[in-house]
Amino acid sequence: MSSVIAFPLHRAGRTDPRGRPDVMLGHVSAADDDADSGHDARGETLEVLLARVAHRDRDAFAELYDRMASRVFGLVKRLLRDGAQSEEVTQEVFLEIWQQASSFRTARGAAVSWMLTIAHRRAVDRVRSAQSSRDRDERIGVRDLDAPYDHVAETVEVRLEHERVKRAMSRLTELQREALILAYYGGYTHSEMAEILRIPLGTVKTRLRDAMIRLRDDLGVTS
Amino acid sequence: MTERDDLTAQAAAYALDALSDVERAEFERRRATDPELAAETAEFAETAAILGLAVQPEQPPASLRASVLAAVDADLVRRPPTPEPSGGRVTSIRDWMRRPVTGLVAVAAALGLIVGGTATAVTLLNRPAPVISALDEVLDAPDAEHIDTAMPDGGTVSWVWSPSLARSAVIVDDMPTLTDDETYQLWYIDDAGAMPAGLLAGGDETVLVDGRMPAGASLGITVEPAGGSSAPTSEPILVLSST
Repeated sequence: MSSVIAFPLHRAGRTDPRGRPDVMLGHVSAADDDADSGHDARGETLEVLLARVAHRDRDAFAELYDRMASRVFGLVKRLLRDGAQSEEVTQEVFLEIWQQASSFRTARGAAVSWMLTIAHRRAVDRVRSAQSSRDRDERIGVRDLDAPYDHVAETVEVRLEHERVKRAMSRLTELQREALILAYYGGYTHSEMAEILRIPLGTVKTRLRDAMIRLRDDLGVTS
Repeated sequence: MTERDDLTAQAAAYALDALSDVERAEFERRRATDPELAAETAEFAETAAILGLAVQPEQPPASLRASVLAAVDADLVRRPPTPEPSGGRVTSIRDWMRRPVTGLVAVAAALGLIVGGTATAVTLLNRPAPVISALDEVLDAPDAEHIDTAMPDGGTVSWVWSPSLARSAVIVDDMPTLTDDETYQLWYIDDAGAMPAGLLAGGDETVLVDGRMPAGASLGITVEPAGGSSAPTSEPILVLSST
């Protein structure tokens, strides 16, 4: 029944959004000194928890959930707005973390970044699906960083992180900031951004590149 | 823009998830052969993650926690964790990490031991309830067809596909396990080429093949570096035709 056929190589296959996170991460000082994402009261890092989850340790996974759920849900909801959809995607994110924990490599970056990368990718995949695309125009805008921020409800670490990024963002040009916000918080592709902003694609690419370089250097990210 | 500038721009867009699916796959292929680009992408990914950290956290409803843990429990029932011979190692690493020496490099090396040791133990079968029901759907589909074949070096592979669902599943028995540096990877193959369709650890497994099965596609299995590849890097060890 089976037959061996020629095997065509090298086509740009669509990346399965359910697939493993294929993003390498460099070290980030932000996560290292962030108590919320680093050590808990027992001194167990998210990295160690992930290693335990890779061994299919349910307790470690439950603890990981408790420490990351508000981060993941907050980010997903920032992109999707809709509560029900955000819950669905958050569930997908945690199940991917459960399945893929063994593919996390500490040498490539912080565990918190790895998990937020998964969350952002899945939120973007969802936001680009037909059902959720219609409300997208409402999502964009500077409100993402200028929105009233509930300082009381948040930990010192989150507030500092927010202020740190806000400061770094304020050092970008307005055009760079706009591009970055459309991309990261709006979930637009650079081609879509070129249409929205009515500028050439090359200009969008340059803006995003320059914005990311400036932000990276400003935030002190090294690999 | 020079070519390097353009690659940097792509790396920035990739880290922000601002590439289309096709561009994303192309970029990943390029990155796989360009260590400088990989390092640059890693830095941008960390930078993007800081944008994520700056978002105000929001506690999801308690029902979500219950639902996530229920899916994990179902997965554990379906496929219990194997007794962990290196369980002591995890504990000792944890103790070791409490020592004041640490430093990221040492920690990474230590964790590399743990994570690397389990790389082949975690398979696509470790899937939560939603995916497992999709698997059942394929296996139970009225129009399901299958091919069974014996591998030259031992083990059997069965491929089950449902044209109406455009999904398929793979069942392997006694498939030789690979080293920690390698993984089996599945591919849907049609006239246009090979599309990545998930990973396979070997041993005894039943997995849902990732993604939509193109009509008349074949299924290929290659051995790839751990984590898989965006395009095949070796000749397939098996190709099964659905037509």
